[in-house]
Amino acid sequence: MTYVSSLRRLNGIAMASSVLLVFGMAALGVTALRTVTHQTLQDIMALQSGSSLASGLVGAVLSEIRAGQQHLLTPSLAAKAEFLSSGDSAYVLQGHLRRLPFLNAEDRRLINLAGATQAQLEVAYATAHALADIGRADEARLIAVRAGGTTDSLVAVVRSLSEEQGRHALERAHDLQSKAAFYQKMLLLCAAAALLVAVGAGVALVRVVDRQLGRLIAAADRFGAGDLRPVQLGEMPAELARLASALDDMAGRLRTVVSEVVKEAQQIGNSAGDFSAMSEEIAASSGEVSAAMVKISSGADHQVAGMEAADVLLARLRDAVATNADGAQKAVRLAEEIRRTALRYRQDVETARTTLLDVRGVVQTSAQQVRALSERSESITAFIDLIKQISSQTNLLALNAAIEAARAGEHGRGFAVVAEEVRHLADSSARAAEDVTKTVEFIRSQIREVSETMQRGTAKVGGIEMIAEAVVQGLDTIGSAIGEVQASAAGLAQETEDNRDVVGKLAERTAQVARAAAEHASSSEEVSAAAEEQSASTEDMASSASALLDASTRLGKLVAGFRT
Amino acid sequence: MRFARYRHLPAGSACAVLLLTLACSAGQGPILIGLAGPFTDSVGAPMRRAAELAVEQANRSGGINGRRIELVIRDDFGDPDSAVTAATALEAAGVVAVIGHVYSGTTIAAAPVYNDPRDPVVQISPSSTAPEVTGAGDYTFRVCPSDLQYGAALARFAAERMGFRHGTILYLNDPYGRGLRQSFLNSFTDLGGAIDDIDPYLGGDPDVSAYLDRLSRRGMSQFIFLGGNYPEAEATLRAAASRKIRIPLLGGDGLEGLEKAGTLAEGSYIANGYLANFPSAQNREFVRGYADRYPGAAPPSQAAAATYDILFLLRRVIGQVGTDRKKIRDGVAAIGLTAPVYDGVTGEIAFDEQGDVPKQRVVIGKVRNGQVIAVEGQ
Repeated sequence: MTYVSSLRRLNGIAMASSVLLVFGMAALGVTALRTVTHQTLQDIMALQSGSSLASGLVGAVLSEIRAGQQHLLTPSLAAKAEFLSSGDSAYVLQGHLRRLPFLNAEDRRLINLAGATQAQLEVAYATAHALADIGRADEARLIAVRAGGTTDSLVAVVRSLSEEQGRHALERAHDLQSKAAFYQKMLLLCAAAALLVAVGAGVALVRVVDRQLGRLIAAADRFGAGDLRPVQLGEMPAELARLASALDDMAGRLRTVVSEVVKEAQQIGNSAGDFSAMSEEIAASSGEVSAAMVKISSGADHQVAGMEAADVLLARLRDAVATNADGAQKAVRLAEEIRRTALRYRQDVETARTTLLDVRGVVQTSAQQVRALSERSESITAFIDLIKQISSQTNLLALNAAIEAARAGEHGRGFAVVAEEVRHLADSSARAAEDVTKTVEFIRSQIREVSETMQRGTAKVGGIEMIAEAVVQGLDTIGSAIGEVQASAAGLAQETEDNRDVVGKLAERTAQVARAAAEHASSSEEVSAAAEEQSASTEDMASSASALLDASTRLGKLVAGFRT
Repeated sequence: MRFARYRHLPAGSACAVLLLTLACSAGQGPILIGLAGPFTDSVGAPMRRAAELAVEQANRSGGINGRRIELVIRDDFGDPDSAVTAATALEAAGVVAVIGHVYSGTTIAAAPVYNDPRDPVVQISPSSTAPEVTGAGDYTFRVCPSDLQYGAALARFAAERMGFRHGTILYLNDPYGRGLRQSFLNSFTDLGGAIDDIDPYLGGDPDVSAYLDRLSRRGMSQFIFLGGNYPEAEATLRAAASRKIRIPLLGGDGLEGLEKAGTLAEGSYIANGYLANFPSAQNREFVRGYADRYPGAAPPSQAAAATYDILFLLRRVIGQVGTDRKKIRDGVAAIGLTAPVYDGVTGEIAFDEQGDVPKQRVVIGKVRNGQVIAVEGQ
């Protein structure tokens, strides 16, 4: 039995042969019974007719002899007629005896002997009758006496014929016995053959199922261990082949899903790495912004201090204008110094603004990438839904298989075990999918948080920019004011004498500048605070990124268990 | 009987296989036909000569569909026991048909062997005339008239043609003699005749002296009807002559050959189904061929002529149906019923349902100058 196309067919064939053999047994039994009964009946009938014929023959012969004797003593037509008719009926009986079934050569010889003896007897009596008729009574008596011996031998012949029949009965009985024994043997043989076929078929069925199930279980074990590579199961019965193809199908789908998940996990990992690097860059940029602001702030302080000094100087100048024309020259030099300082600060602020612009660009890119990540995580969810669907289908399949196995009864027990294993596998794949769902959900919430934080950061960077622009404008204002101070100082050198009011205005302007510088300083502090805040947010983002990285690593490890 | 058939199933299949092998090997071999009779006595010897002549002639003209005919000859010595032995031997030899036996006693004794339902074979007797042969079995046939026909024909002849009113019956105490005795007795008394005495004798060297003494003493009988064979008839005629009894002797086909007994036999009347001087063309040819083949032998007897007819009849049937025993039996049984009658040297052979030939005529002849001459105006 190398290959069985269907268990049901094998089972059917085995059952059919067993039933056929049992039917054959029944037929044989019935035939044997009928044969033996029929033969017994026939034998009994033959024996009956044989014995009745034999006794009839004896009667006919005896009445013939009686009539012959009577005719010898007192000749009469009636006695002569009875002598003849009895003899004839004896011959008729011999004819019937001759036609009995189951006669052997000895029987025929005895029947022939009976006929011959009867013929002798008749001739003897007829001769005696003739002699008596012509008055030779003594000779007649002598012949009659001699005929007595013939009579005895005739009776003996008929008796041995009866005995022969008895022997036949015995032989027939023996024959029947041996025939019955033969049928018994045949029946036993049939029964043994039926048993053999049934047991053989059972063993073959179990072996076939066992072997194929073993292969299926090994395949399921392999899948369970995470080795999802295709399995060559070979030819198997139709019922198991269905299961095998389902198993193969399931492995194929799992393979696709796992490879997708692995790809996604790698992408998430990459994105998280990028994200992390970006966060670090943002953090660094924020530090630079912060340092620049600190510088701006200290510059503004310097400016305020300078303004105060300028105020003092202007006051002194006011006094000196009146007194000293050289004071104008000093004022010009001082104004030059102020202008250079303002220009330097403007450059610093410009640098800070450019850095901020860079930060904004980076944050925007990060926001885009996080959005992409969020979309990817949605596709992961869709794949996981697919896994769930497959595992629920597999579960259903396993349930059906379990029902089929139950229907197969004893033979399906091993199969039921497989079905249970397959169901476990489906359950565990469902659980894994659930885990993945949770992880992805976590990642998505993290991404959402990161996204929000980034939006906040972007808004704050926008605020910083505005402040920086205000600082630049203020510095520009300082620059032009200084220019005007220089021009005024130059004019002052000529027109000190002419216009004292201008100095008063200058003083006023200086006071204005001092106010602007104070404002500027407070704005710088604000920017610094915002930068610090952003730095904190960036740190949050970095930690989120590292959490994302962790999650993607875990996901990678989870799917790395599968061999596709 | 439905199940009785299965009893012989293993034996039957074995036989079938054996027959198949036999049939295959016999495909080129000769067709075996059995011949059973008392070939050592004067009744059986002509039968054997006729059978061998017929086989020679048949084989010269192509045998049966190109196959030679071969005789399997078994002597039954005219004895019922030997007849059973001979029949069993012929069955076992695988003959497809048997010609025999000659006497009614041997035919009846052997009939159960040929009719054995296990493997029957057709048996056609040329000369067994006893009424008991009728119904001896489906496979038993004869081509001669029965004793009922002989007895009736002789009774009519005695009562009407000869005008006899009284007669004595002597009969051989065997089925043939008893059958002929009874049919003659019935017919003769029906025709108004009276039988003075009916006495049996035994075959071989019969002692009929007591009967003849009584007959002589009474002096009533106008004829002696002898139901037996010609040696006994000769002995009876001799004993009658010694007692100066000069009444005619009448008898059936068993007396055939009595005409050779010299003056004793002159004037006796013999009924027969066949006379060598039958004028038909077939018979003249047969008699000539017989005389050529066996110079110096007596003209063919009824048994010889009938044997000759049976062999050619079997040749026709086997040529049509082949060598299957059952088919041969059916082919023989159909002759005269559904198949055409067989026109032989003994006359037209047409079987009735019992395997008898009621249309075969009985001819009564008178012994004159050592010959049986058919009585005129029958």
